[in-house]
Amino acid sequence: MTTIPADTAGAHDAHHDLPYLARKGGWATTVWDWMTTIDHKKIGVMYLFAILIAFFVGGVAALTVRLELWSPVQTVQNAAGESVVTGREIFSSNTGYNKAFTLHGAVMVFLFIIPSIPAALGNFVLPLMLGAKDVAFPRLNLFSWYVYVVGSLFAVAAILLGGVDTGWTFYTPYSVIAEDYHRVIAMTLAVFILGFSSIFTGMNFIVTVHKLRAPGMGWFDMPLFVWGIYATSIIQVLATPVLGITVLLLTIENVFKIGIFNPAYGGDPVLYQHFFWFYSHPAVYIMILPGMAIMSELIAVHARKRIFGYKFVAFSSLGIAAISFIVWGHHMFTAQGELASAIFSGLTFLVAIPSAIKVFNWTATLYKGSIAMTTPMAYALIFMFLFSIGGLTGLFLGSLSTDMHLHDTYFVVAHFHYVMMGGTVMALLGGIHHWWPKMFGKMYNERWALVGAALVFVGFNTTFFTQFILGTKGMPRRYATYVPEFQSLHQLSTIGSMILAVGFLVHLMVFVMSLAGGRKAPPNPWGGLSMEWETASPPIEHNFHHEPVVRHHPYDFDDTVPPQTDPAEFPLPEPAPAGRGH
Amino acid sequence: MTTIPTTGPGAGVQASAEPWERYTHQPHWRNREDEFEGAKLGMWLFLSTELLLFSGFFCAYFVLRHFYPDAFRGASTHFLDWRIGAINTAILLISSWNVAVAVRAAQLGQKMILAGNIFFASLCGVAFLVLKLALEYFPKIQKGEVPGAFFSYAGGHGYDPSPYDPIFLSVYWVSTATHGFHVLVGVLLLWWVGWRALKGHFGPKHYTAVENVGLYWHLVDLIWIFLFPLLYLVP
Amino acid sequence: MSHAEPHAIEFEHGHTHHVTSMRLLNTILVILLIFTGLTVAVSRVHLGESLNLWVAVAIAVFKASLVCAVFMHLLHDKAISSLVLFFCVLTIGFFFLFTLIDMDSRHMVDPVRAAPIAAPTIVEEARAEAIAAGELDPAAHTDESHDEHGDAGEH
Ligand code: HEM
Ligand SMILES: [Cu+2]
Repeated sequence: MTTIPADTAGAHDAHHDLPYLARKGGWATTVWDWMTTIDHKKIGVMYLFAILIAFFVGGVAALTVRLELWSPVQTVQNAAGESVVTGREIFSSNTGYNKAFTLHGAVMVFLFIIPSIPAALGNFVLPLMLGAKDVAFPRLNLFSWYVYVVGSLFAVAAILLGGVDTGWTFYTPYSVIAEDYHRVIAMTLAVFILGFSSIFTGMNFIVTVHKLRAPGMGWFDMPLFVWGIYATSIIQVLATPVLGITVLLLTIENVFKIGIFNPAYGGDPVLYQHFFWFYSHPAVYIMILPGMAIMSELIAVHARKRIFGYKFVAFSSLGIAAISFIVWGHHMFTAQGELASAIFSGLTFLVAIPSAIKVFNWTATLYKGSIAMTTPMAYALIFMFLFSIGGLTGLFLGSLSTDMHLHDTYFVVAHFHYVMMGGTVMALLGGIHHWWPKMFGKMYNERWALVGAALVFVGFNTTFFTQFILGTKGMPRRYATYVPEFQSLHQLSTIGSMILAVGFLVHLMVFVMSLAGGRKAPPNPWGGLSMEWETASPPIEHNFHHEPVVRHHPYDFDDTVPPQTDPAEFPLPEPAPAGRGH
Repeated sequence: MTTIPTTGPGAGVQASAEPWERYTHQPHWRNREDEFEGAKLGMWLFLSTELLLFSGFFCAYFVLRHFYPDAFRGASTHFLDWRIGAINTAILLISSWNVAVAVRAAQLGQKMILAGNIFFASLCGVAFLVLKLALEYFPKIQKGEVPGAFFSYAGGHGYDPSPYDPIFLSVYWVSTATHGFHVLVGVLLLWWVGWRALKGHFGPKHYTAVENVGLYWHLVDLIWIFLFPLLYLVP
Repeated sequence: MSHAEPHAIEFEHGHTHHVTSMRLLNTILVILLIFTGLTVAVSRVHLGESLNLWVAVAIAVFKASLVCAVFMHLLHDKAISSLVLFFCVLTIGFFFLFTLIDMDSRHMVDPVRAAPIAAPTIVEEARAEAIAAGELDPAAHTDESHDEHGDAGEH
C-alpha cells in the first residue's frame, strides 16, 4: 500500500544513525541545534526540562504556604496590654499568603501538570511507539514549546511585578475589580498563551495517531499509552479553546472595563464559573488520563503480563473524555441554580465507572504476574492506592448534599491532591523512571530511587491525609489563619511536605548521578514489547534504521521474546496447559 | 474567471515543469496522500478549536439576551444598521465562493484562475474590514457607543438608551472584533497563498495550502453567518 | 453537468480527489444569498422573542451546513473531517445546554438568584454629563420600559 520514495528510504547515511543526543559540534552549535530542532525526542526532553523547573517553582511556593500554616495567626495582648499579631511565619499579610497559593496553583496547573506527561513523555515516546519517524507536524511541535515558554514568561512577569492573589481560578467579580488588575492581565494572558501550546500538542498527537502508525498497526495494536494520550488530546482540542475565550474575555474586561462577567456593568459572575469549569473540569482529565496511560504500560511491562481487558482500558479512556464534558457543574454547587446542581451531581457519578474499570483491570493484570519491584512498578502501585482514595473522595464531593458541607474546605484540597499529585505526579515519576534508560541511555540507581519513592509515599500521605480530616472538621481552604484547635494537624501536614521535598531531592540526586556516571542502558532493560524498545537507547536520530513492522501485540508477554534482549533474561512463561488460548 | 476550460485530470501539466510537479513530501510522511490528509485533519481540528472559541461569545450572547431581552432588542435596532451587516454577509459569501473555485482551479492546474480567485477573495476580505471600520467602529467610538465604563452615548434620534445597552455592546464589540481579527489573518493568509500560486507552487499533485487556507476562510464566513442575524437582526 | 468536466483528479497513484462542479458551487452561492435575504425578511415579522430567535438560528445553521458540505467539501471528504466537526458541535451543544439550563432555572427555588443585577450606572452618568454640558434636553428622558430593572442610581 505504501511506497517509500527512494530519497527517504535510502537516507541512512552515518549522520542519521547517530544517537539523537550526539553533540553536533561546540557549545554554541549544540545549543543552536537544540533550540531549532524539530526532532520530537529533543522537544520532549526540552519540555521535560521546562516542566521540572515549573515543578520546582510551584513546589517552593507550596512549601512557603505550608510553613505559613505552621501556626495559627492570632491577635493577642502582650504584657504591656497592646494587641500584637503572633504566628506569622513568612508573610506579613493575608495578601502575601493569597499570592503564594495562587502562584502555587497557577504554576502547578498551567505550567506543570497540563503539559507534563503529554508534552514531555508523550512527545518522546508516542511516535516511537507508533513506529513513526516524527510527529505529524514537527515544526508546530517546536513552535508549541516556544509558545509554552512565552506563556510562562508572562506568568513570571505577573509574579515579578508583584503577584496575583485571585487563586488559580480567577473568579469574577474579584478578578475584574482587583486593584492590581494589570498583573491579573499578565496572568490571564499567560494562561491564554499556554492554552495554545496545549492545543497544538493535542492536534499534533491526534493526527500522528491517525496517520503515522507503522504499516500493519491497527487501532487495537497500539499500546495503551497511545490510547490514553489520544483521549487526552481530544480533550485538549475540544476544551482548551473555551479556556482561551474565558481568559480572553477576562483580560478584555480588565483592560476595557466591559461587563460580560462583571456585575458592576450588568454581567453575570456565575457565567464566568460556567465558562471556567467547562474547561477546567475536562482539564482535570487532561491531567489524569496521561497518568492512566502510563499506568497501563508500567503494570503490564513490569508484571510481564498481558493487560487484562485491553479494549475496556482503551475505550474507558474515550469514555472518560466524553463524560468529562458534562459534569463541570459539580464545582458550582453553591453558585448555580438548584436544578442544574442536581443534574450535574447525577452526571458526576458516571465518571467513576470508566475510572473504576481501569483500576480493576490493572489489578487483574497484576494477578499472577511476575511482578518486578522496580521503581516504575513501585510508582504504579502507589498510583493505584492514592488514585483510588482520590477518586472515591471525589464521589463524596460529587454528591450534592455532602458537598454543601465539604465545599471550599481542606477536604477538597486533599481530594484533588490525591488525584493530581497522588495520581498524575506519581505516574509521571513512574514513567520517567520507566523511559529514563531509553531517553538518556543510562540506567539509574534502583535502590536509591526506591528510597525516594518510599519517602514520597510517606510524605504525601502525611501531608494530605491530614487535610481530609481538617476539611471534615471545617477548616476552610485559602486562609492564612485558623483556629488553634487545628494546629497539630496543620503541623503534621507541614512535616509531611518536608518529607515529600526530601523524597523529590533524592530523585533529583538519582537522576543527576545517572546522567553523570550511570551504567549504560541496554536497548530494552525491562523486556517491553512496544516499538520504542526495538530501537537503540538512546534512539538514533531517525528513530529506526528501517521502517518497523508490527509483528506482535504490545502486550503479548506469553509468547513473544522481547526485542533486543537476551532470551535468558526474560524467559517466556511455562507453556500454557491445554485449552488456555487467546 | 468566466469560462472554465474543460480539462481532464492532469491537463494542467505544462511542458515547463512547475514547482508543484516536483513536490514529493516531507521525509517523515510515507506518501503525499497521507501528508495531505494529515494536514487537512489538522486543519479541521484547528477549525474546531476556533468554533469552540467563538462558542463562548455565543453562549454569553444567549445568556445575556435571556436576562435582558428588551435591552438587546433596543440596542440592536438602534446601534446597528442591518444593511451594513447584510452587505458584509454577501461580501463574505461571495469570497467564500471564490475560494471554493480557487481550490477547484488548483486541482485542475489552472494557475491564473487560482490566483485570480484568491486575490479577489482577499479583496473581499479587505472590503469587509474597511466597511466595518469606516461605517461601524469609528463612528461608534466617536459617539461613545462602546461598552462598559467608556460608554458615553447620551441618546438621541428619539432613542432612549437602556441601562443595559452597554451589555449588548460588550457582546457586539468583543465578538465582531475577534471575528474581524480572524478576517485580517485570513486576508494575510490568502495573500501568502496567492503569491505562492503565482510562483507555481500549487497544482493537481500539491495543493495542501490552498485547501487548508480555503477551509480557514470558509470558517470565517461560517461564523459571520451566525453573528449577522444574532447581532443585527434582533426584532 | 457537462461531461467534459472532471469529477475527480488523480492526486497520487491510487488516490483520487473529488472536484466540485462549477454548477454546484454557483447554485450554493445563490442559495446562500437568497437565505441571507430571507433571514432579514423573517426578522421583520414578529413571531415572538424566542421563535424569531429560533428561526434566525435555524436559517444560519442551514446556511452553515451548505458551506460545510459543499464549499468545505465535507460531502465528498473522508468521514473523519465530518466526525471532527460533529464532535465539536456536540461539545458546543453541551456547553450551551447546561449553561442555559442553569440560567433558566435559577429562580426555581431561590427567586433572589434570578433577579437581574443592579442596573449599571454608566448610562445615567453619560446622560447627566450630556445634560450638564447642554448637549441633551432633560425632557428627552422618556424611559418607561426599563424601570423594572431596579434603581439605576444606586451603586
Ligand atoms: C472519580 C472522579 C472524580 C470526581 C467524582 C470528582 C469530583 C470533584 C468535585 C465534586 C469537586 C468539587 C468540590 C468542591 O469544590 O466542593 C472536585 C474538585 C476538584 N477536583 Fe475532582 N473529581 C474526580 C477526579 C478528579 C481528578 C482525576 C482530578 C485531577 C487530576 C481532579 C481534580 C480536582 C480539582 C483540581 C478540584 C478543585 C478545584 C478547585 O476548586 O480549585 N478531580 N472534584
Ligand atoms: Cu471536576
